[in-house]
Amino acid sequence: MITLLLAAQAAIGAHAIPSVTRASPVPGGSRTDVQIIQSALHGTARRGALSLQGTLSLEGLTMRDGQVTPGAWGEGYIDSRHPHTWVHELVVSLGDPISLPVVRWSLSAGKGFAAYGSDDPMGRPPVLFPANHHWSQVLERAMVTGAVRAGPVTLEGSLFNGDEPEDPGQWPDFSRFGDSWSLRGMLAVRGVELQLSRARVKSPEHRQGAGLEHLMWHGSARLDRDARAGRVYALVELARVDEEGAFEFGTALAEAQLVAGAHRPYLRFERTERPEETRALEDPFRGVRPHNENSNLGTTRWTTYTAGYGRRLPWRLGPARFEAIGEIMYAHVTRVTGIVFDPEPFYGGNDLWTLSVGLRIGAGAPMPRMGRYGAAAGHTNGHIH
Amino acid sequence: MSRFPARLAPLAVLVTLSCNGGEAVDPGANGVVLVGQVAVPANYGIHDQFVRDGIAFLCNWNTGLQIYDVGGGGQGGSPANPVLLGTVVTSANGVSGGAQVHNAWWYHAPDGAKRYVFVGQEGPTVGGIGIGATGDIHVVDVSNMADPVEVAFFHLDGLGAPRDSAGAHNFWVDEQNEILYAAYYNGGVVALDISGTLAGDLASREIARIRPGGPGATYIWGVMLSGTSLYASDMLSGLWQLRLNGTAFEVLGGGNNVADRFGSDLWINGGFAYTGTWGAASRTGVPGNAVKVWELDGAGAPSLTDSIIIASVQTVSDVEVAPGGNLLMVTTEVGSGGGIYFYNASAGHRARPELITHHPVGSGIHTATFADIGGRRYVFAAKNPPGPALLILDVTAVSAQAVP
Repeated sequence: MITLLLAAQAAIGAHAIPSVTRASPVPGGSRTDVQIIQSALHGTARRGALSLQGTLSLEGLTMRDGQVTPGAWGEGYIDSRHPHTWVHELVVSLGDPISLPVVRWSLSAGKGFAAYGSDDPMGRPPVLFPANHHWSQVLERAMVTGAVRAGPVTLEGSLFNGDEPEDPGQWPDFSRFGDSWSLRGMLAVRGVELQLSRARVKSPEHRQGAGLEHLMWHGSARLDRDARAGRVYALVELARVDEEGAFEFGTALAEAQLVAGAHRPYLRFERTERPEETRALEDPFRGVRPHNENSNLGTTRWTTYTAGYGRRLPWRLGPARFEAIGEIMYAHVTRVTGIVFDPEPFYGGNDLWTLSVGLRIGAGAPMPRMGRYGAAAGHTNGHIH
Repeated sequence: MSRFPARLAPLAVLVTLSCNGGEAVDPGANGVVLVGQVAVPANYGIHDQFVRDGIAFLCNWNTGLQIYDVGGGGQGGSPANPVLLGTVVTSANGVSGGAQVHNAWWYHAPDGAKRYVFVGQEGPTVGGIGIGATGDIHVVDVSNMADPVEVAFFHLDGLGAPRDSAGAHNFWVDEQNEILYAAYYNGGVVALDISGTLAGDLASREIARIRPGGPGATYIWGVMLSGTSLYASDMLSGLWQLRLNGTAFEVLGGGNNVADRFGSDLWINGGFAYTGTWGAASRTGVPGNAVKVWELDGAGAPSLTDSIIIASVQTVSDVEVAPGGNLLMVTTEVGSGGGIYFYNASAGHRARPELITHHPVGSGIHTATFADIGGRRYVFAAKNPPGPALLILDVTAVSAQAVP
């Protein structure tokens, strides 16, 4: 690995967004977070057939209590987007171990994304995470992924551990490696990607394995190419999660962005169902971990509209680049099932507003497209903001 | 919920074997002494326990039902040194999530047979807590405790709208009349004939069922028989007084009497009832940190008279009064006040139980039950994850303070 890092074809970079985020109404009335989000060091390296992709997240230091985001949930955080683990991804890939005609193939291993779903929200236009993060990505797992690419078609398969982290410093439970799997197929033609994924994830929310298994479907269409007005990006995704027939959750999301010179307007629409779980008594933005017995209180549906604008600033400070960002999100929450959790009295209303302003700082290489390894990374476009 | 049939307590005391050998136990500052514990696999952990005749039945979720000699099993076990006798993982019966062993009752039949343990399976909710539930009653033959075998089951169906699915929760057994009463969440209360040999599907053993709050407004947590009245604690509609009359239940009193919180466990003691409250979701903006105190009138109908509020807890998860009726125990979870609370509930204090002491457990206690073994009084308590375990506490000194 050290050899890889010292390779000639290496690129490293850094990324962070000092930001102020205010949401209202939320438990307690309103919440304002002043923090640094999406703080990360990242890099790629290549030497011959070997390549390395890594992202070190610093969010455990810079946003330990999460970023207030109504609707967001997962890893023990509720209405607050969780910090990622220190090692967000660290994956070594071996390309074409044996040369084959027509196809390129690879084997990848390490900690990172399973071959499932769409891109990490950190690499997409809005700053505020969508509610469907845990329905549309399977990340921070100990995984082995095989990828085969033939022309515009890529097929990937992953074996990994089902447990998701509960703390920035927590590693995957390696004893559970292989209890979960995923498959992803993609067709990419002239900047358009069509993708379909399937995954079976064992007990993601109960680390010791007593939770329900998630049977997941995800499909998406992604556009990223130049147009007359500038660089155009769009994503439409649908996902469905079945928890052994006991619970079902669905999500639909559409987002788009235009990069025209220094300007970057973007929009997102989302409708996502999420489970409501028991919240900690002393902190309504945190769930009880580990779960005690079956703790689903019901299902809520989050319909959100997000609009944002980024303006690249003409400043340079050494290798650093800057972009000013303003973003507003309106969320409407309703109860789908359940009787004991009613969002209207809990939040003090069904309509929740979030405003976030920040300064995106990037230095060095742009962040790579996370979760695409080896042969699957060959024809994909990287970070789109 | 844990259950030690109070009316059988003297018998239980007589037949249990001495396990402490007269050793002196030095009570801690709060009078509670941790004498033993059994680590439980975090799968997810221990949910409940039933202790009788020096045998402890641990309801260890997907690890199954585990049977320990804690003084009466003849294998050298004691509260300080529990000895595992046997394990059975009851069948999932098609319920998502597996065995999910939730609660148990070791049935002593009128003819002296001690063959069956009834096991409750708490499957996932359907539509969320308060709406629907899953899970069956499983019957385990413990004739050979080293090799317990599941022999029968009961599945509740035929509920119709709004949810044609229900899940077992807590039991009470009328051993003299050979009837098992099961709290069945949205299925209400079910009475089963458990006489004779039990095998296969027990659907034909159903005697009666009732949803006292009505379809869609019933979610029964627990039941307890007192005299001829069966009391049922409904998370949604409060405390009910019922009676099985032939093949039908009748409502005698209570109901729609807890509006501020969701209900949880219950215990009846000497003309009073105590019920807990559940607060994983808040009903009116307050946590489930109350123990409701009810006075029963001459006919047994409950009237709310007082509430004990416990600071820094989200849920009062279990309520039980020790044999003899003087010591009230309350378990709590989620929050810095998690643990076990002991109150003087002796005559003269039953309307206003007085706190004797609190035994804190950071991760909370889900359930606990009393057991008198070898002349001392113990509490067997289910400690929540992380580090789930059965805690065995000597509370003899605490019990001695519960006097009129």
